[in-house]
Amino acid sequence: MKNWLILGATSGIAVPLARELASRGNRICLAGRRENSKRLELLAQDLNARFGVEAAVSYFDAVELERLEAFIDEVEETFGRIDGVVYAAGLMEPQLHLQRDFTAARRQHDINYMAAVGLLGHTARKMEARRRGHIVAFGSPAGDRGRRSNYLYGADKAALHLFMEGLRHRLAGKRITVLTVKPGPTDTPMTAGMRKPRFKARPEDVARDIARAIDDKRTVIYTPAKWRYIMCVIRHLPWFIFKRLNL
Amino acid sequence: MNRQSDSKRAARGGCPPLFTERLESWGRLRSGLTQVARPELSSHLRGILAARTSKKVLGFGRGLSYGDACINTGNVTVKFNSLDHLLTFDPGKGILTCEAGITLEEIIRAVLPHGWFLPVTPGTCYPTIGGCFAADVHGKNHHVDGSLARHIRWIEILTASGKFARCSRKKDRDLFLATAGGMGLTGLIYRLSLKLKRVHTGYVYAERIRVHSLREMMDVIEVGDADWEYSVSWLDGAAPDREMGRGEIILGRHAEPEQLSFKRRSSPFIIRTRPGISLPVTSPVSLVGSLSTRLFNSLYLRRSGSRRKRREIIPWNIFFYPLDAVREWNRLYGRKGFVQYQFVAPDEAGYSAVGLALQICQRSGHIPSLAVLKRLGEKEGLLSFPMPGWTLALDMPVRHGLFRMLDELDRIVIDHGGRVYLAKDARLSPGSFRAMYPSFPEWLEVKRRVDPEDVFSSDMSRRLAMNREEAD
Ligand SMILES: Cc1cc2nc3c(=O)[nH]c(=O)nc-3n(C[C@H](O)[C@H](O)[C@H](O)COP(=O)(O)OP(=O)(O)OC[C@H]3O[C@@H](n4cnc5c(N)ncnc54)[C@H](O)[C@@H]3O)c2cc1C
Ligand SMILES: NC(=O)c1ccc[n+]([C@@H]2O[C@H](COP(=O)([O-])OP(=O)(O)OC[C@H]3O[C@@H](n4cnc5c(N)ncnc54)[C@H](OP(=O)(O)O)[C@@H]3O)[C@@H](O)[C@H]2O)c1
Repeated sequence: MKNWLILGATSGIAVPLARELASRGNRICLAGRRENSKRLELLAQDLNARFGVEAAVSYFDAVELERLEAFIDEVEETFGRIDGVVYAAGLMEPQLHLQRDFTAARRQHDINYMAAVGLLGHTARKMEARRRGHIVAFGSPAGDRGRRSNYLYGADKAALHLFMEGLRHRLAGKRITVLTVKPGPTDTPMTAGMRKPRFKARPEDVARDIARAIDDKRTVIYTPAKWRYIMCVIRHLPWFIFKRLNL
Repeated sequence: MNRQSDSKRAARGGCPPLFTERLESWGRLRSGLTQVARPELSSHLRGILAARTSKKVLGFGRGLSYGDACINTGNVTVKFNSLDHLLTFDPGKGILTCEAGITLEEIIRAVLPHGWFLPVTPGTCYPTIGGCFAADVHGKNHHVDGSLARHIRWIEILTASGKFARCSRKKDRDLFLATAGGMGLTGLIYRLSLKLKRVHTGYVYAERIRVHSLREMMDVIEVGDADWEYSVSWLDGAAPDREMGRGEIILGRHAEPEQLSFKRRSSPFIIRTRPGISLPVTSPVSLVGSLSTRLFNSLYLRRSGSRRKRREIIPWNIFFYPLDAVREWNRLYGRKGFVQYQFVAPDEAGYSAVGLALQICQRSGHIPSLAVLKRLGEKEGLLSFPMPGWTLALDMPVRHGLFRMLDELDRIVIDHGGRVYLAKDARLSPGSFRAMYPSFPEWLEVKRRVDPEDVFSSDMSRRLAMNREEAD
């Protein structure tokens, strides 16, 4: 039994991931914004009813950067030692909107990147001292190559990918696993309004892949796995072709 | 704080934001642009109704019905993905209360380790319990246990009045029976309470029997159904006339621990969750042609060897959900999609109706790629599909002339006193529908009482003119 902290627990992917982790008998702390307290309480009840595990709720807001470290300390005090942490919060606003509004782009960057650095960095220091732990965060295929349709979101994810890589390097040999997950388009609120239907993966399948990757101590995964190959092709497309594509 | 950043989720006036999307059902046949809402709390359901203006509203599970029952083109579709919380589960009594959007697979994962299983399940574990109640689904055990509605203790539904109503077979019985099989047209099902089935292992003891004609198949099924909990048969739709009905009968019951090998007995409820293989792209043309169908069917028959009877103990997922092993197999049928034509005909007319249907498919060259035969029992809801008799389900790729042939099949089904399953339908005419569903006027009476303005409506209900008595 381990203690897992899920940051952004109302996310469409985090919900089934919390269930996967609970089904393995772990205690779960669901963290999200206070305005979602009803949903978070319901999710805690759900984990308990499904798998008989203890689930707690706590509140944070990713844009309040200066409060994040204290928040982690609080969770350790009230919920217990954090053995595993997932940063699932994220925001993908329309590229055009971000292009025109720097304040919005900066806010999105705070949520997608800076908050992860604060929360995961602080947790990592504690884990490093204890020489055990799991750290999980979400990159994205969108972070593999800058595309005009969403490079501001992509840049956030590329930064997070590099942060996770560095953290993994730093913690190598200290019995801490650092996993970057790059999901393809998944059927969650984030992709609402994407008009193509069957294109999206089931979040339950994505969550299952992630849980297995944690068990297997993997470092970077694409899920569904086909995205590794698709992105390999897209990354290597020569510029004279790439610039013509409507991606 | 910049509120705009929360546009994707924040509920305004209790109504979650709406997004324009194209939704598809499993047959990939119908899809239209619709305004999708994704509620996360029961209060959001109310909010959606309050904000709907003149638009029609429809619940959507996971789109695993084949036709247009879950499609609401140009109107509001309520996706239940996030209303999927398990609320309570009593492992002693096997009673579970959940929100309508939870999938059957998730229920099994929670209850099987405690020795419980779904009392009724369709041939896939990916649909929602709400969608299954709305279609009042039947399983391989319909001849013993009836359809899903029989095992639902109560439901809570948001009706057009804007209030949640709890109904059951005892309380507000009309609403309960109009909702079971009512294809989402009486309101938004929010919560359900379910009585589970006791099992002692996660395995099924199965027997497969090879047969060579339709007569033989029906005889063996009738004998088998008397002592087996589960029964389903697969027949070769491509077989030549003289061998029509050749195929395999699969009987089963939940295995007892003593039947398991020593190794399996130590963890009898093991849940395998190998993710299925999925098809990366939709094939531009259908790969399921008459040649590949013939080949597949005869290879399948050869694979099962020459012995007439075989027994085996297999894990629950392989027995109940063989098709789930390939995710999105519907893409095999190409862009035009496919239909599943499923009908039931009363006992005495069963042989004739099934035989005629197979012959007509042969004659017109629309060879079914999959043909499944099963015996059904009594129905539960007013618009429920089952009746004591024989049901035949035929999977066919959409090709020129298919719909003309299906119209012909409709006439045969009506002549034999049978009906077509709404959860699979995309093309029945309003007249045929009325001839097939004699309880429709009774259902309409309840519908008018709970939803006088026809707020809950779908492409199917508009196609079949389900808001009035007469077909035209
Ligand atoms: C491979 C496969 C095998 C199948 N085998 C069987 C079988 O053996 N027996 C059988 O009976 N069926 C079978 N089906 C059909 C399937 O079980 C039903 O169509 C089921 O209704 C699909 O559930 P869903 O959650 O995907 O609902 P959807 O397809 O999304 O919706 C189905 C109907 O339910 C309504 N609905 C959904 N959720 C709600 C809600 N919360 N409130 C109000 N209305 C709602 C919709 O409006 C629609 O009318 C099979 C389907 C497939 C793909
Ligand atoms: N879905 C995809 O197709 C896809 C593809 C690639 C990568 N990803 C990444 O995978 C992760 C999970 O994605 P998802 O699709 O599950 O996302 P989602 O359903 O849209 O959820 C986003 C989560 O972020 C939280 N959040 C937003 N702003 C926050 C803030 N200021 N403070 C705290 N929490 C905040 C949301 O909380 P509220 O409920 O309070 O809004 C929500 O829980 C994200 O990092 C995403 O970028 C997703």
